[in-house]
Amino acid sequence: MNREKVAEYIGYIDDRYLEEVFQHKKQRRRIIMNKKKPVTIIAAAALAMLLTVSVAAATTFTGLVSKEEILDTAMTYVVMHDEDGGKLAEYFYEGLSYGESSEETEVSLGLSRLTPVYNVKFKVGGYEYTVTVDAKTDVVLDCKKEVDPSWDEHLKNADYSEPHQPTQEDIENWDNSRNVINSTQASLIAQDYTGLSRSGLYQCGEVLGTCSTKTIYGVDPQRFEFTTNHGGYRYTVVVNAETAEVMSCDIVSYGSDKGHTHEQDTEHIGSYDATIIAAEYLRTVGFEDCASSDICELIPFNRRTDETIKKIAGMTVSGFDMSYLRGDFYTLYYFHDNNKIAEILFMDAYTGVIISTRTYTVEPSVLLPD
Amino acid sequence: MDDKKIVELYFCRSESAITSTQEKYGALLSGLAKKITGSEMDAEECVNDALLGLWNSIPPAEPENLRAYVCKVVRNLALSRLSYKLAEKRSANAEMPLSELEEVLPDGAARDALDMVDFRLLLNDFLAELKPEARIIFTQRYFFFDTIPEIAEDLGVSQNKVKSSLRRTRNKFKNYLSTKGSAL
Repeated sequence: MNREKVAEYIGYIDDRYLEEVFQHKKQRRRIIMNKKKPVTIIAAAALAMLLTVSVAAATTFTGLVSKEEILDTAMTYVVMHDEDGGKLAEYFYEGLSYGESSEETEVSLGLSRLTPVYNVKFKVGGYEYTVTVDAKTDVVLDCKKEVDPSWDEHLKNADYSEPHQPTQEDIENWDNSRNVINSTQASLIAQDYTGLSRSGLYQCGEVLGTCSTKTIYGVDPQRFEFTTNHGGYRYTVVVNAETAEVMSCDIVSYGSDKGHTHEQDTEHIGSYDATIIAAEYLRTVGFEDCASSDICELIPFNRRTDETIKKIAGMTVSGFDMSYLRGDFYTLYYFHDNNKIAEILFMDAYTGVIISTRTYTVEPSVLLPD
Repeated sequence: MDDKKIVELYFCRSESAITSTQEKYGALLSGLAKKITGSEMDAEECVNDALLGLWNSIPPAEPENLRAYVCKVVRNLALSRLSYKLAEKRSANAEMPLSELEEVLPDGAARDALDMVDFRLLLNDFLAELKPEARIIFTQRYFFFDTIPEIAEDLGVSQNKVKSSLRRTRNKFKNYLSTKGSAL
């Protein structure tokens, strides 16, 4: 008997038995989530206890938040509040942790007005950030940003070589007047098509020379080609410059890139799935109207660009993927109450289990225009 | 959104029905299609085709269980796509379970006899006799094409237990079909 026939026969399984599987999987997910939570709590408690013991001599420094969490808080703050901080997020697509994604990260404990504070310093995207975080409450007290003087040198040494670099003759013969979209708009269309973050490709090739999520180069007058690595896959998307249509999209698994091993990344759940799971989770905890398209990163500049793209290309920008892949975790954002409050979810990138959540009050300065 | 409301949207010919379906079941469908076709691109196309299929089939169809209905649509589309791909590239995920079952279902005259009866009734009567765990394992493996490790993890049991359950169920199914076939 041929396999098609076998498959067809099994397709007759009654709906009630399929529903039985769905229900079972749902229950199982709940069990796993409930199991994970206590582990996280115990781990956090153990860490807090360890910190408490180690600094017991100085009572002022008891009950401090861990350095890892402080680093996370500081960098999340920069990503959310600073337009240039969005570049930090681009590194997450390489599967790097916060610490690896920025340069010269330093976390030091100090006192400010008799309050223990962490000073977090790191460099990213040509800027040096110094974020002061209350060591007990995990609240950001101050954030300073300065131009990183070493960045010029960094750019000078960057590898800008591209596999399809157009020749001078190509460039001279280009007739860009026929194009209805530019490379930035094309990159956003490509990202929408692949479901990757809007910050993933944007200007990466021009500004961050060594970032592997780069490219943005026209290979001929009629089309733009983009490549990016994400979740263990390399996406190559070609967008028609005249019609704003995606001409092709190749997704291939890769083993390593620029010295980083990504073998484990091939087991990551996709970021699209991550947003679906996040939305499902949020609906179960009271955010009944939450849809996966609401899960986002809120970089205002890119949002506005999306609107432009909508008008120009006449396409629907679904926004279904706005998550950060950071090492083994996704960081997902859901804004509600007129974008004044954000729920931040940290998800295991392998299992889709929500590890922890955090509620964040958004500063008025980063609210989006309607 | 509730499934009934989504079906209502299809009946109202509201395009948000498609968005809502994709929203709610997109990941599930993509996962299922990818398991069968072994390709993300093919899976995506299957899901898109399935959504179009839903749009065209509802109404008149009014599925009581939208999730099961759409899974069946995607599964059929993915299997059709797989058959085109078989000559050049085989999908390990779907191939293995199908080859396991191939031995169970009869060939030749017996199969013709099966074709003549309502196989749907036979299959579902057989499943009704199984214990829930065995039934879930069978359905996960042969309808959803889940791998042995995935099923084991889902059920919180060892892979060996899953394998032996599948083997026992296949044998039972074979006996069941031969009994029914000879009775025809």
